[in-house]
Amino acid sequence: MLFGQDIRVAKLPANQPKAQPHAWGERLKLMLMLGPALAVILFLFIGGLGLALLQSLGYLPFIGRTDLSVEAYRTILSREEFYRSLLLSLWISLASTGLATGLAVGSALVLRQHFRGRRWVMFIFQLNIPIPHLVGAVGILFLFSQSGFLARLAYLAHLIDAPGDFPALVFDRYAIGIILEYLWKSTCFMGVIVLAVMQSVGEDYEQAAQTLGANRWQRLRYVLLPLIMPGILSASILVFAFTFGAFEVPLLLGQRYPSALPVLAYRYYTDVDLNFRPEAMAVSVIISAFVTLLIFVYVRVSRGISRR
Amino acid sequence: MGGLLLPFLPLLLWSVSHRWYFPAIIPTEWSWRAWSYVFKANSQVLPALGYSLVIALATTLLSILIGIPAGRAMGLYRFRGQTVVRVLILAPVIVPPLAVAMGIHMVFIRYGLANTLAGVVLVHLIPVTPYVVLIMASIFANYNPEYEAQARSLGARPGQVFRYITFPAILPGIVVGGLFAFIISWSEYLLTLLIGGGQVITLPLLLFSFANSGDNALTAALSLIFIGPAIIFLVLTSRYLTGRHAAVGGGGRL
Amino acid sequence: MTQVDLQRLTKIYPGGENPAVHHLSLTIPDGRVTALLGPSGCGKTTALKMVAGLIKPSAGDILFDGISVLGVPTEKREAVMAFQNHLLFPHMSVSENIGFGLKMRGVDRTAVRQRVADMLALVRLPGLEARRPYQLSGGQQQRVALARALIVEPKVLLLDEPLSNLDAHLRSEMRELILDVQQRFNLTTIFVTHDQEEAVVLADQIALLFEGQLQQYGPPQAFYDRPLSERVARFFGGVNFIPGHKRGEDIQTPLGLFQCPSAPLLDGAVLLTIRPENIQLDSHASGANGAYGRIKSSVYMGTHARFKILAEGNSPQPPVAIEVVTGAAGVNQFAVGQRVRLHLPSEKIWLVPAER
Repeated sequence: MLFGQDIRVAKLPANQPKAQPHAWGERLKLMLMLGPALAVILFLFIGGLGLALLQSLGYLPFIGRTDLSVEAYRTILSREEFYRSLLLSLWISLASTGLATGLAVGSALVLRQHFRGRRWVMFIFQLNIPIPHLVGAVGILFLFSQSGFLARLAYLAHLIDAPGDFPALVFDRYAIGIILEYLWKSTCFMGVIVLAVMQSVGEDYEQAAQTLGANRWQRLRYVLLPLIMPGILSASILVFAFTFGAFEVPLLLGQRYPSALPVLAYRYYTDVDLNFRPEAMAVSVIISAFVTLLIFVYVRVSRGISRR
Repeated sequence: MGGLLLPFLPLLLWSVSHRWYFPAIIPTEWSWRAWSYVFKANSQVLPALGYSLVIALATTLLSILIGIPAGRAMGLYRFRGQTVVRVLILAPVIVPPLAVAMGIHMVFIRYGLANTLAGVVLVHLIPVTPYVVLIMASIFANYNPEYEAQARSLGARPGQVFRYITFPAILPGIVVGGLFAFIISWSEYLLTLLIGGGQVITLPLLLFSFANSGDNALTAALSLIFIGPAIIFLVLTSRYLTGRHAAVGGGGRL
Repeated sequence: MTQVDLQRLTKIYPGGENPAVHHLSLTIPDGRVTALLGPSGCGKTTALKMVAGLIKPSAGDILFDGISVLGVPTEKREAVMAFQNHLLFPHMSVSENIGFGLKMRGVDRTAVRQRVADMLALVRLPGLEARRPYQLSGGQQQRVALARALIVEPKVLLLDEPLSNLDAHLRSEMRELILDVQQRFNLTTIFVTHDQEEAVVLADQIALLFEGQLQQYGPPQAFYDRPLSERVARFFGGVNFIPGHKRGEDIQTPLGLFQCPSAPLLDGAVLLTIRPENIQLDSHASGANGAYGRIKSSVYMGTHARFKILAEGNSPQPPVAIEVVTGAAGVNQFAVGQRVRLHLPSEKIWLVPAER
């Protein structure tokens, strides 16, 4: 949905008409083909979301509660802890998405040129994409903790005298460690996407602009960036959505209080007091609703722009 | 740029260290302790490795079986409601899995799927299916079904048509889609944690508890094992993603 | 109003075996239209982009009015390029596209608006300011691209395959438009094309390139009447090549002796060539500069007829295949299998070097 329309990677051969099923038999065949995939989506995914919504409204048959109310939401929204977590999650997502977008566009601008070692840099970018976040988080821990690799280098350079002098970059108030982990992965992910978009746009438009008198900066500002903006936006939205809802990195690298929203939801969920269940569900429903709303607004806005 | 590789360096060093106190830049004493523990028969690692492999392979196989017909429908046909179906299929890529997993947990407990391998595989299908369907759809979008009709007219039975015509044509998609499915399932933490309920301990769960326990050498060794499939993935896909089948990269970049 | 000189212009791409452009020297007269013609991969686009400054030459020089422009970056060179696929910026309206060059130069908005309106009138598209490129037809897009190039009043206008993407009807319309504005602004215009017809109808001068090397440079007629080599002649549709030996004005061939007073070649082995439409067919006549042949096949082409004839001389050598084009009536006059007399007027005969 997001990239299908922007990147146009899979081009349709012009000579290949699409089948237009009208007959009942054809429609039935289609339903059968889509059936298993839709079953996964509808029963597991949509069903799970629906059940989360129901439970957030207090429907907990296994402890004998079946009447619906918005009590859990009211409780959540009156708790300072929730707002602190929300702010933290927004900060993490905005900082990592913003920085990653800048770095990715910068890297893509460098990577589209020919230089020695370009293949190796490309390889590193692609290598990092399938690496699990958990391993990235462990790496960040080893690098940036107060007894980590960088702290030792700082000691060697006589910048600090003891581990405690090194600034807290993990388990810290500003979630620097979490942001660094997301930044590391997302820069690679977005860099590869933005580069692909740049290459599909090609250099011809910039050359045309150049012969018309546009200098390097003007070509970037008025030609290349507007042309690749849809791709950049799609990729940033994906990164934002992921970082907003992801769980294991803040769980490993984050402070205990306040914790990122998904970690907060999980803590409520695993509380021995089952009365926290609706609140856990409410927090996770709020996360999902926020991300969905974001995507919805994005699709609306981008359609509006392309229709103009 | 070099910073992108930086997280790997301490992993390598820690995995073979015995003593490495602040402020030493390299370990003061080396040892294979972590690695020999990892491969010891009665360690926790081998069962976790087994669980991870079985779950990822089962998820991959199921998602391919689901993805081929669905990808064919999405890539080869235009039908009413297709946009809705497309949005539905893509939704799990974007919407965080937390609410879904928490919500469905209740039902899984009710039907005895919680804390079981089958339950974990089932719930792994949620993040995996969209990728496989999209990759297969992009393959089928570049596929001409008239070859099948041609083969039929030359006397091939439906099974033979699939074996000799369709399958070879969509093989790149199956390979890339399968690798995506495997990697996503292999890396999954939250869904396994919730639905596995502490009974199904896969590699990432074990890695997390090692990382929390502070045994850096073990954590590092396990991390390196954990990224193995990602490396293999990259080597295998680079052929399919950059060669003449580059079209399949589209789904992959999503 | 700029004369462009290319002096031993050479481009060798890294890793390329042969130079893409090799020692290309041309004087492109000011205020005229010059075509760089050649098959794809002959280096013509590379040469054009070197003039624009988009590709840096490996050797040689480019002069505008006698002054080297190699040190002048593309954006200051005032050599505007209009590309084959027009490359209108898709995120800008028609007026933003046309006004782009002026905006880059910091011209104020009101002045830009006025000039854009003038340009749209010039390319006969008034009132389309607010449209987006995708809302225009192919011909309209081409015109907007032309307007966008002309508005900055370039010293040199560079066109990449200007007529290639257009159907026959639009081609002649675009051709008139290009020649019209070119003459109005007295613009030095260089365009590249792989299509010899496009070159002939548009250009005052044609430079023909094969494999990065200049083969012939001159007015279009010269390529038909006085080609410098067999390859040049073949590229322009030449089909008749008869090996011969030149001594003075006499050419001895397997078909007999021919007279050719105008050929500039030295005595020795040559190829005698003549365009098919310049050979006269007759059923009986005889005379000098002639040969006998038998009609092998004929094709009626509507406005004319084309014959393949096996011509033979007195010598025991194998017959020579000759193609002849006559008026449409010829198809009724001559039948397959008929023996005919071919007359090759001496003023239409041309010689090219025999290739080893």
